Amino acid sequence: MTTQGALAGLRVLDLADELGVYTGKLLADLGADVICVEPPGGSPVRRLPPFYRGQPGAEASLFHWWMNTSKRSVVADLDTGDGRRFLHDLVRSAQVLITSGSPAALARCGLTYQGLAEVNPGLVMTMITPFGLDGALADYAADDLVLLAMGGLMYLAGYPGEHPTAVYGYQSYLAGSLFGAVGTMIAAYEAAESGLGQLVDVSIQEAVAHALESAAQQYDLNGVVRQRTGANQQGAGFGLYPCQDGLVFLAIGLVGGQVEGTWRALTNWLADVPEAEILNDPRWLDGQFRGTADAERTFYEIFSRFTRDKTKRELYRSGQALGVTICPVCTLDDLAHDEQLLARDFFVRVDHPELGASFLYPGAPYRLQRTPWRISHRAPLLGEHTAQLRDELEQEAAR
Amino acid sequence: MNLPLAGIRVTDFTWMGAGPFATKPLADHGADVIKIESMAKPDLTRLAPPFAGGRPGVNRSGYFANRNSSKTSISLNMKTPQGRDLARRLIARSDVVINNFRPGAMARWGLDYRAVASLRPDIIYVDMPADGTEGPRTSYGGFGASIAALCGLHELSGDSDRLPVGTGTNYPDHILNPLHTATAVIAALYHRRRTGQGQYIEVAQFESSVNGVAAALLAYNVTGQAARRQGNRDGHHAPRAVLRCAGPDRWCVISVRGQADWAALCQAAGHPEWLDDPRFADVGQRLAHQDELEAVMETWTSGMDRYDVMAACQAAGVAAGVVQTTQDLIDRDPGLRARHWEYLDHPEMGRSLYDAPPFKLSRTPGGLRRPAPLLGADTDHVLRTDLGLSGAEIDGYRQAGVLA
Repeated sequence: MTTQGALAGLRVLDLADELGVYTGKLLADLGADVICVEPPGGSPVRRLPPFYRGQPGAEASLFHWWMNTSKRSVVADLDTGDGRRFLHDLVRSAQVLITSGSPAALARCGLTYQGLAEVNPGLVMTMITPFGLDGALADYAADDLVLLAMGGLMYLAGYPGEHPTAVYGYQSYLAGSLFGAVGTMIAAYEAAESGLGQLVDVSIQEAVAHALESAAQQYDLNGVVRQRTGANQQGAGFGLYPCQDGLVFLAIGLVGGQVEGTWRALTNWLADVPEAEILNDPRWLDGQFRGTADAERTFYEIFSRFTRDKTKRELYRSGQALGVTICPVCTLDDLAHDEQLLARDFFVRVDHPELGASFLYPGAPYRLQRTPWRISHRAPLLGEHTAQLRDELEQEAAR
Repeated sequence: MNLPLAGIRVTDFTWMGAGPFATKPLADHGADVIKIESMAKPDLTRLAPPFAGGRPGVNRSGYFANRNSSKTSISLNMKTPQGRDLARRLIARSDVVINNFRPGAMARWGLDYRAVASLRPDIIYVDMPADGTEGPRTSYGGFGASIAALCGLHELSGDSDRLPVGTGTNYPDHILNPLHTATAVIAALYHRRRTGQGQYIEVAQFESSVNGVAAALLAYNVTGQAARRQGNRDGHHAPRAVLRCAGPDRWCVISVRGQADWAALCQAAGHPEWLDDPRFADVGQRLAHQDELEAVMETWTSGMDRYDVMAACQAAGVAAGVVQTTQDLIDRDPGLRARHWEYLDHPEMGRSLYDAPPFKLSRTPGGLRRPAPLLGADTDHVLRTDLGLSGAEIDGYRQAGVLA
C-alpha cells in the first residue's frame, strides 16, 4: 500500500543553510516535494562534521544525511543568468521557499521576498535569520553559540559561580527551524485558500528566547533575574544521582508544587534503605524545606546509598512501577538500545545504494496515522535531480 | 482582518508545559482554542510561580499566562456524566482535540480517538504521551526536565570532565515537543483541507525529543563513535568559547570560523601579536591549545564591558555575542524590544510580559490577541453561543456541580 504524506503536492524550495535546514526536513518527511537548491560547490550543510568514514566530502556529512532526508537536490549557480532563470522557473512551480542565513548575504544572491513574489505572487517565503529581518542586530554574524547566548538560554545553564554552558546539538537552529516550520505551514494553509503568498520572517534569537521557561516573567513580575543551577540538586529529590552505570534523574516537585503522592511513592520505594524512615516526616512535603542545604545533603546520602549499586534501567523500572518520576540520563548508546524505541520500531532503515549499504536512522518525531511520517529516500547527492527537475519543468511548461 | 487560522476550533485538554505551548501559536494565529479546565483541578501551571506581585492565585501565574495567550477557558467537571456530555458536544463542533495526559485518561472519559471520531469523523485528534501510547513504558510518567535526561540531551550538555548540566530548564517542553506537535497539527489540517480527511496523531514526547539529538544518534549508528559533551567547544573551531568580561558574572561568547576570522579578531582586540604565537598559528594549533588560547583572550575581555567586546568583534565580522540575562533581554536588547516582548493588560495580573510569536507573517500576521484567560472565564459564553444553552440550563448545570 502506498500512502501519501500529509503534505503531498506541496513543493518547497530549500535554500537554507544549517540555520534553517531542519524546516525543510520536517516538511519533506511529511510528504512535501522539497528541493534543495544548491550552489555548484554544494550547500554549507554538506561541510558539517562528523563525516562518513571520517573523510570530508560533499556526500559524507552525517549532519547532511540527517537534515536532508526525503529531499531532492538541484544545482543552480545564482551568480549566473542561467542559474537565476532556473531558480525562477522553480519558484513558479513551487508554493514555498525557505532561506536561512544573514539577510545581507541572502539579498546579495537575489533572495528577497519582493523579488521572488514578482515571479510567483502565491509564494510563501520563509526567511530564518539570526535576529530577524529588521532587528537592530540584523547584520551581526552569528552561529549557534552566539544565538544561545544572545537568546538568553545559555545564561540559565552551566556551573554556578563559574561559566555558563551552551546546550548540545545546535538547539538554536532547531528552535528557529521548528518555528520556521510552524510559520511556514500556517502561511501555506492560508495560501491554499486565498491563493496568496507572504513572507514569514523568523528570528532565531526570538525562538531561543521562547525557551526560557518562566525566566522572563519572573523578572517582569518579581524583579528576579534567574540564575543557573548547574549539576546540583534543585531541592531534595530533584536532580542527578549516581548509580552503578551512570546517572539517573529524579524529579520530585513538579511545576505546580503538588508532591504528596510522589513523595509517598518515593518513601515506599526506599522503605528498606537505612535511615530512609526520616523521609516520612511531613516537613519533606514542604518545598522550602527540601531546598535547604541540610535537606539536600541528607536526601542525597540516603538516596545515593540506594541507587549506587543499581543500574539505570533497574531504577527506571522499579521507580516508575511505584509512580516515582525517575529516568536514566541516557547516552547515545542507551538510546540506540532503548527498549521503548525498539518496541515501537522507532528506528528506520534507509538505503544508500551508491554505498551498497543501509543505516538505521532515528525515526518520527510524530506519528500521523493516516499520512505517516516517512523518510522516502536518503539525502540527495549534490545535483542528483538537476536534470530530472529541468525535464519536469519543461513538461509542466508545455502543458 | 482575517487571521490565517480563523475558523479552526481546538478543544484543548492540555496542561502543564508542552501541550499549552503547542496550542499557543495556533491561538495566536486565529484558531479558537478552548481550554477545558476545572475549578477543582486547574492547569497546574496556574499554581506555579512567578506570581504577579509575588501573591499566589490561580489567575496570577506568569508561568501559566505566557503559555495561554489568545485562548479561552471553560470549567467542566469531567467526573460528571453531564460534564463529559458537554465536552462531547463541544468536540462535535471542533476541528482539533488535543491532550497531554497519561495514556488512558481520555478513554476513561469516553473520549479516546475512536469515540471522538464517531462524533466528528474528520477530527484531528492528538495524544502527547511521555513515552508513547504503546510499548513497554506506556504507563511511565515524565515531563520536560526528565524527558531532557531520557532523550540524551542532558548527558551531552556540560563540560567534558564534569557532571552534565543540561539546559537548566524543562527545555523539551518549550521547543521540541510543542513545536513538533504544532507542525503535525497544521500539516494534518492542510491534508484535511485537501482531502476532507481527519486523523489520529500521536506525539510521544520522548521520540519527539530524541529528534533533538538525532543527528548525533545517526552518527553514532553509522560510525559507532558517540558524540561527547565538550562545554562550549565544538572540536572543529577555536576559539569557540565563553569568556569572562568586566563585572560580576558577565560573559561574552566568541566563535571564530576560520583563519581570516582569527586574524580579524586579533586586530580587533588590539593584539596582533597573537597572530605570531605558534600555539595559535592555525586551527589545529588553536584546538590543541584551547585552554591557553582562552586564557590569553580573557586577558583582553575580562577588562572590557561585554557589549563592547561583542561590538568590537562584530565590527570585524567575527561572530560574537553577550551571554544575556533575562534582565538584559528585556531591558537592553532593542531588537527583542521591537519584535518580541509584548505587554498585555490582564484583569488580575495587570500589565504583564508575554512572548510574541518568533515568526511574523507579513500579510496575515498573528499576534497576542488576548491575555491568558481567567480560570473558567468563558464557561457561560461558550455554553451559550457555541452549544446554544439557555441561562436556566447553565444555572442548572452549575448547581449540579457540572461546571465546578
